[in-house]
Amino acid sequence: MSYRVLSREVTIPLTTSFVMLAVWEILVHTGMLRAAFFPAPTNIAHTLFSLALSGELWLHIATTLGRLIASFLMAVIPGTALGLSMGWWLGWRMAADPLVRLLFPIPSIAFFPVVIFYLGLSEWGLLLTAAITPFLLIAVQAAAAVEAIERTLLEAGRNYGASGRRLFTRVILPAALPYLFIGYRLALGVGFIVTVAVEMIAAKHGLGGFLWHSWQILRIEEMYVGLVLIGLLGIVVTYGLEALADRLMPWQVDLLRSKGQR
Amino acid sequence: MAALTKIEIRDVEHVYQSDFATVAALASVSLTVGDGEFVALLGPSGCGKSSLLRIVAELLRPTAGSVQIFPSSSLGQPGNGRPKTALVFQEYALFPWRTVLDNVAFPLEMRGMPRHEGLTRAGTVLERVGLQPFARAYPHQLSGGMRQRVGIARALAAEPEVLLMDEPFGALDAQTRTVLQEELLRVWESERKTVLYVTHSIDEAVYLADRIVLLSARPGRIKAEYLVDLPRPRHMEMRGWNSYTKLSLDIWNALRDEVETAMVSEKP
Repeated sequence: MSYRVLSREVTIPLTTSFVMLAVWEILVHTGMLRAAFFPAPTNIAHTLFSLALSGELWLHIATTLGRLIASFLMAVIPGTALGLSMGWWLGWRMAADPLVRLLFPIPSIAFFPVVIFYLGLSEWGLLLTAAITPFLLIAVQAAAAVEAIERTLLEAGRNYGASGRRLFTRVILPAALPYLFIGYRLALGVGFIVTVAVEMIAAKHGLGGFLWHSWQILRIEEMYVGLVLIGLLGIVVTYGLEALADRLMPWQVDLLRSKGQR
Repeated sequence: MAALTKIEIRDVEHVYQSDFATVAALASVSLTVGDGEFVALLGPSGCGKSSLLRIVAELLRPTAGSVQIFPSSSLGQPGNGRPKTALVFQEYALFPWRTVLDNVAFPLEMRGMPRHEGLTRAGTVLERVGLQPFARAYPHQLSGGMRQRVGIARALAAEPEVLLMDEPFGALDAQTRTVLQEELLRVWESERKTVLYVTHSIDEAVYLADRIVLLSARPGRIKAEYLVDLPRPRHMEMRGWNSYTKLSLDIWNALRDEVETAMVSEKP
């Protein structure tokens, strides 16, 4: 990739962001947007910095990030195991399919009342709610990943001496990995949405809780700060997963990034 | 020609269940391949030649009959872990997550060779087929012809008793195919490994093989055998020889009926 293309990749998004913020700022200052509803970006930034300096914000960010990672792990490990089993053994697939099909279309947040009925309004209840749909999503994707493995790759693995566990670790798993990661990315997105939603309903800490609280006491600038931070955190975790994918799959660089160059 | 028997295929039948019907792919095939012999399996599409190869590779279990491969006494001591077969695929079937070197080292790794020794040996094989500069590349960075070179290198590194090739150059353009045929001839003529080679190209079969086994349309059975008495080493000019042309025509005349039959028979 040339230096020119790289620099364009940076300059175009920077320019559009700056222009949008500038227009917003001007509209507020000329009175065309009411500051009570749409505080100026500079005001939001100011609030953001003072809250960051007071230290309060970091607790919310760390709480949400921690919940996101914990619920994601709760989804990834069993989801991958179940999905790979479903993809490899027809029996597993037939056994698990009805349950997965039934639960999959239910929005994750709808499980919340049921979960807290059993677990109480606890941290575990929050995490479990945020993990259910990502778990199902990962399982479905992992099953599809195994089914998508080219038959000849398995034949090559067998013919060249891999069987049993080594066939799994040396052929099936690496062959499925790119598709698994596509599922992980989707699951991370869903998990993030549900985590924030559950925080709005039921948590004092975390960015969702912060956002909800700001609205209730009508601190509009803080509400926007919450939105901005949720957006930024989303970008950061997505980027983290992409970086992990690049690291684990050097033969598949940019798997999760679409470039729109054709 | 060859005195020792390397592969013995006895009364092999293969019947499988497709979504719609029971398909008889192979009907009682018996074939003996001598040590160091290059045998081409030729037949219309769907005649079961690939199935036969996979049965020899122990990737498919025959419905009836048996395949035996006799280990050589000269090349290695028993129990040294040399595999019976190594298969070269039409679609290359390289592991995309492994570099060229790691792909070639895969069979050595699987038989428990220490990693360092495996990589050294794989490197030697790469050098022999001129792939050393691409050792660190990934398969997707290579052209089809280069990928199949890697596929062949992987099979050679495995040091199998028998080399199995399933239309290895079928997916390549004509020029690349010719170049790789030449290369395969050079390697084979220096090693004289036993080869079972599936193809649907008469020209390729005549050019490469010692003996050509013609299979009938499904269910495949051996219809005819031809000895290719062109001298070794083979070279391009032989394609213009009268005996080359005559043999190719003979085979085509025998094959044509089978191709017609295969075309009108139902798809499984």
